[in-house]
Amino acid sequence: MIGELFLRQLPAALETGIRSGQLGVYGSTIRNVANGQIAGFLQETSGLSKIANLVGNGPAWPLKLIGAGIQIVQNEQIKSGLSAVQQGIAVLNQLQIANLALGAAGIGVSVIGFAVMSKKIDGVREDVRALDGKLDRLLDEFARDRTEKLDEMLDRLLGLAERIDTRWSMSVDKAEIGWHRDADEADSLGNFFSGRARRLLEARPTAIKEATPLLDASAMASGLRVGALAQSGETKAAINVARDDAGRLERLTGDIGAADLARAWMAAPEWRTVPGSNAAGDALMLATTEARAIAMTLRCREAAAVTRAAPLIALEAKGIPARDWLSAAREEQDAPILLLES
Amino acid sequence: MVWRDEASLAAMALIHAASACAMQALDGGIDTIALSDAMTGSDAAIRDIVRPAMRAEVGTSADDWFKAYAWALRRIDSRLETLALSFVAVSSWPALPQNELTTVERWSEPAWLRGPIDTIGSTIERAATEISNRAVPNAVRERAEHVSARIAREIGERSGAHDRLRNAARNELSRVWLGPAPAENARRPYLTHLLDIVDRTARQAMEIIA
Repeated sequence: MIGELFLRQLPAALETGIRSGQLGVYGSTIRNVANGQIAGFLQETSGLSKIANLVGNGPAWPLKLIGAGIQIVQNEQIKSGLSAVQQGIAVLNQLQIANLALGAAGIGVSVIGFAVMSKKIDGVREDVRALDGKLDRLLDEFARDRTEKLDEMLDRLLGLAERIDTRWSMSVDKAEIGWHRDADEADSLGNFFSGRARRLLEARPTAIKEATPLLDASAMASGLRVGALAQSGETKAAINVARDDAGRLERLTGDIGAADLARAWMAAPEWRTVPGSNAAGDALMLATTEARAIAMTLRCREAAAVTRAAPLIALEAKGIPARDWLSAAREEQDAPILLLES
Repeated sequence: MVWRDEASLAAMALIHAASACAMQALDGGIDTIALSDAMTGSDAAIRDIVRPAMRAEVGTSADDWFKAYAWALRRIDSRLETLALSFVAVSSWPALPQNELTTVERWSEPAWLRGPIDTIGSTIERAATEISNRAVPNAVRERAEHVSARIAREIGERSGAHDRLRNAARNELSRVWLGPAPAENARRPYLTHLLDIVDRTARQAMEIIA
């Protein structure tokens, strides 16, 4: 029954709508751009892990997807035509959600399993390392915390993801009890990461680059919490938690726009240049480019959070248990995304 | 709101680009500034070169900017048409700074520096004028004028007088056009005015479409 509800590929009508710009992907929903009406819901699946394995590790690993897609097309066409993985990448690229799906925020409720979560957490660790101790110093200064502690908390997040994954093989009763406990731990971890991000941004509103690993980790914890609750049959609680977490994120980053970041950077001593010089023009271009990219990431993360439970609400209205939907998403090994038409 | 971001970033790019043009104009016309003025980094370079260049560049570009972002605003939602019209209305634009500098806009040279530099600049100019006023053949006079211009330029560069002019121009760009404005400055930089208009319009737009 559940298998008849979802699609593994993008229907032609939606694909045309997205290509023409009439439809747009907003978090885990496909919407009519003109009136906001939802045309479909998206949910990540275990099929993401095959794609994730193709593109390696590192902070920019989702960005390698398009390149990987091209490479696979070239290799596989020589061998045996379109593979399932290749089709999966094509779907992600059609929807322009490759970075979102493989990034920390994810698409829909987190069911991707330990392997992909491990890669995502590795990506966060890489981001922390890339800051070359800057986050460490800021946390010392404003949050009285250290990166080593952050590392421990990321380990706990990884352990939690593994436990949530393992419980699928248990009896329903045992799994439900465990998932309840897991939701509590995800809450505690989410509070840790978002609390540090809040204190950092309150002290330094423009330190968004430094806050990014914390925001990503917080988004992952939220995804795990919503997933654990939904899997344990607590759909309403999952929906409420997703809404509350989205509100918390919106309060943290919702007012940070590209222009705010570029203005603040240009005024900061380390960015200051001689007015009217070539260096000033170059600095403005760099600030604008970076600020746009960061603002886009912020908006994608917020969209993912605010729509995380959207498929669950739609399923509930159809009388379908959320766990069945998530179980199907978890069992799906080929398509990276399941689509539920509204 | 994407409109606010894009309009603000475009306003920043607009004023920065105009600033680059104004500095080029200054370098092109720096020899036309009297040496005594150059020595004191006086208002002449600002009044005669930098500010007219900025007014011309910004005047033209701001016109396009207001129209482009009024159109973009209207495109978001038809309910924003009146707001877009008000945004593009000339009456809502901040007035461009006049060429004549007000007291607060003047480059404030430290008093201890002004006396000797005024004297040196005036002496060199007086000497050049005396040579050219003497009853000498035209060819000699032309040669003398050419040499005196070269000397003035050399002195302008070597004495740091031209750098003083450039510094005065940068100070003008920073204080009057680009910002951030010092707290005690009576006049807010032009860019700040543009960004304020964007912020205000974006807030009103959000209220209308909320």
